[in-house]
Amino acid sequence: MTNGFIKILLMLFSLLIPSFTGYLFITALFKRARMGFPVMAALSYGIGLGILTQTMLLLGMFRIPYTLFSIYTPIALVSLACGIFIYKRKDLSGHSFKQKLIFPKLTQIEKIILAVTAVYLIGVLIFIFWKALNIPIYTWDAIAAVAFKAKVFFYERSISYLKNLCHPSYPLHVTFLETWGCINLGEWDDQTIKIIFPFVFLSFTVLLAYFIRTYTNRLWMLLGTLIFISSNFPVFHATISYRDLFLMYYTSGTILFLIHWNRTENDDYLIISSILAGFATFTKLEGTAYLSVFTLLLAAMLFFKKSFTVKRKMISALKFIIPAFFICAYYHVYKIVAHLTPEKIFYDFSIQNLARIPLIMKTFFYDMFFTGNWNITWFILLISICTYWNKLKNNAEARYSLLALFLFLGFYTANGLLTQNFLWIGGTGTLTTISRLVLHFYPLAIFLVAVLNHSEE
Amino acid sequence: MLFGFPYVFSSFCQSTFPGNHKARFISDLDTTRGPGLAIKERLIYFMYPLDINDISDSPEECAIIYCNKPPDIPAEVSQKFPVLKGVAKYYAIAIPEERTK
Repeated sequence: MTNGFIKILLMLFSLLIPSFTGYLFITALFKRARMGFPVMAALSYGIGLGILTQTMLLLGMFRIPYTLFSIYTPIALVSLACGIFIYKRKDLSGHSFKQKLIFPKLTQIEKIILAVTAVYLIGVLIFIFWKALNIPIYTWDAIAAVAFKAKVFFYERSISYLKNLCHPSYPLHVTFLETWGCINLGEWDDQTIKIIFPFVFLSFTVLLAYFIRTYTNRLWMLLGTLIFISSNFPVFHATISYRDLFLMYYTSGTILFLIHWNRTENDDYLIISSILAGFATFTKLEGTAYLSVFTLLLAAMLFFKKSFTVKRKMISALKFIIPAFFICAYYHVYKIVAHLTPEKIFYDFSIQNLARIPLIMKTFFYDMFFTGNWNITWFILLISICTYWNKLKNNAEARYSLLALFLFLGFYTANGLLTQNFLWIGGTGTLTTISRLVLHFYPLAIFLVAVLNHSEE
Repeated sequence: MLFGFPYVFSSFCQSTFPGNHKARFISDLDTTRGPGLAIKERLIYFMYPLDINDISDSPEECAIIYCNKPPDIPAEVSQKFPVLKGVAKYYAIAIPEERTK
């Protein structure tokens, strides 16, 4: 019987290895994507865990039992291939090894906000790590589906019973991560495996801070980070075994990288965005639907790109579509082949459904503005849009993040309008779902607030 | 304790009959909705690898009895799993005789 400290070390090791693979993968494939080490580490976590769970799906498809050896071997091979590629390229600098640590001079106000942010961040991290590691899995979806599937896969060392479990068609990213954690621990432990959630929270905080810093200034990077970490709902989700925080990481990450690509026109960011979009489809079923949001946003960006030829636009579209749709199709094709029962959607085009629109809008409005989930972010956003309307029209990052927010809200309005999912979007089941849906795109609101409010001077 | 009796009972059953086994679940709970459904879901989760939800394709090797009133145990269950080990009056695991030797 291993003690708690050893278990945490084993878990950290089990996350470090795929994260390192993710790091090598990004370094090998995206030479021109220059980001600092903290951002690379934050991105490596998401990409590396995505590679890990896709590997586990592949092993499951071919009925290869889940063992440390069977999972580590392909991960090691991917790392080795990336390492050789980087070595052959004669560029051992990677992305950030040559970077120097710079301690910029801060203004008085920046010093105060930095101190507040640092103290608050440390407090939040202590809380989420403590809660995640001390309170076992207790939430409904985790017990009924996410963690239970992980437990079955851990004991059976395969996904052969997936068809007998509830919601067999649900994507398996988080489930596989929990299985992987327990395979490394050598026993089922539904406290220690929750360490993946605080880390995804921390990783996304770093990514968000990076993008806000890129498009604003240090002050708004600190304020944006402070707004995010002081929002109750992401913090709560960093301590429970739900899939929504991972979906937030991949969904908002996809949009932020798309916006970054739009500015830099560096296709490396477009492909990173596409890979994140693909992993979103393997996190929750909504991720597959969000592909339409990402694709529409990209289409809008390409449409307004006057500097691009038609050929360049086509190539860019394919660079996004091929990786994302391939990762998405990979699991969906498996579901068809394995005869996994799909979640049924019933469409209803009757005219009476128009009465649902105000109910859906009211539900979202209430959740965003009158719950304790989101700090006062949505109020600040509303005021910022009204105050800086002209800036919004002239700033591409602001325009596209607002468009993304509208696309997400539009998608859910259409979904509630035309399908039985209205129950969860505007009907009696909203209490348990609507905040989780907002969580997926919530960071974009913070990004937009920062972009609109920062002064160019 | 976060989950109270379902967790304690599941731990008892696992220690009494360790390993991966399929079990018949006998209960008077209304497991279609409300608290009964919540208790059943917790039991399914905590019991595993004692499978009370017909997940594995293997034959039944024991029975889990989780009742508030005197249970109506089918005759073939009593025959196959005659040894009852319980933590409370109607909360027990029924196992084959040879497993007690």
